[in-house]
Amino acid sequence: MKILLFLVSLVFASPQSVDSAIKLASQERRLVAIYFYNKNCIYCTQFEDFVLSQPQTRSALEPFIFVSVELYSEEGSRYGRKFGVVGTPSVVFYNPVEGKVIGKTFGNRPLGEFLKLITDVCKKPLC
Amino acid sequence: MDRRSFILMGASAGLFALISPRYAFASSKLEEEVRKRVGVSLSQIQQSDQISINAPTIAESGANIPVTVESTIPAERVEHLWVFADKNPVPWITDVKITPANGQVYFSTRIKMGETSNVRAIMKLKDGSHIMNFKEVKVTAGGCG
Amino acid sequence: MSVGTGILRVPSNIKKGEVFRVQMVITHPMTPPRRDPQTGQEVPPYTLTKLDLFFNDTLVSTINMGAGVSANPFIAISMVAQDNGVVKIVYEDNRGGKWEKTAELKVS
Repeated sequence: MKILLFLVSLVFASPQSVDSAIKLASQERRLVAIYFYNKNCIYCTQFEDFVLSQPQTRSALEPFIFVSVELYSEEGSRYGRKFGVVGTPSVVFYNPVEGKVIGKTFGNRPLGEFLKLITDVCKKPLC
Repeated sequence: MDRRSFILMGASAGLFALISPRYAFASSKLEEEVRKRVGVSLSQIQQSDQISINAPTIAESGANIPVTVESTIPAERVEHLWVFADKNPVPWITDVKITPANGQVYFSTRIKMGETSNVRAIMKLKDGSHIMNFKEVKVTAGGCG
Repeated sequence: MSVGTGILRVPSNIKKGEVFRVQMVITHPMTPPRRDPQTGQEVPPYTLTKLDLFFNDTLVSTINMGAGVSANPFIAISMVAQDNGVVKIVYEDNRGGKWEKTAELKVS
């Protein structure tokens, strides 16, 4: 039963907080992709519709543990300061094992550009 | 078909695919969408300046881009109008059935674009032919800081 | 404003036979199918699909649209002022919503 639950959590794991995502990632030795958004930012909606929701992006992000956080929430601003996030939409690729930021993007980048960044980031170990 | 010509056909098809994989497999989203919506292939449609597209050269935001399509061809000779954004995940934006009661071809709306690409207007005329025109709209990457 | 609310405008001062522009704005979110990255949930599309423009119950134009049109669509289209009458738009969305809006046209 425990194993089953673990498997289910592996497939459907969508951590609710950055803290838990980073914890999970360091346990599983995986990379984290943290998406910083702001509900009132139209560029975020655009980025979500035209980039994040696209099937190519979803499959490219599969090796990562993906977590979203509102930049102006308590947790969001804490991590925003830590990773030097200047605004929304931003995606930070983080290696929790080495404690290093391995990639960062700000603004509604075009799909192709974002996919290329994921590929570049993914070349490094753990991916 | 005898065996020899069958093999020959297979070989030449294979050769063609080898030389030009681009033609053999790649058909862009836009081409697929045009074939599906308009019913002809994009390469068969002539560009014409009888259609004019009014849209910003640089858009402030991809969420709300004003696009106006006009034509000097009288509405009586026009059957249908399509608007596409080439690089959108779904390139088809809208299409309009035109009748003589429209008086002239004038259609204006606001569209969403994910990235810099052409905005394309295609018209089907009463004689069954198709014409098109396009204009590039640059969408700058933006964010809120 | 609630979804489906429409504003329809025709000019007030036109001559018979003149070509004029009908303008409309409809309140609608026009969202594509997407995965909400904030909740991880799949959100089905919610868009207007079709708008018919009538003059005195005769069809003038049909406009098909999807999520490529901006939220709260603005549309302007030309038509001929044939006579005094009623300009009507009938529009529907992909979740069964159907609405109509009319405007009086007076020609001189």
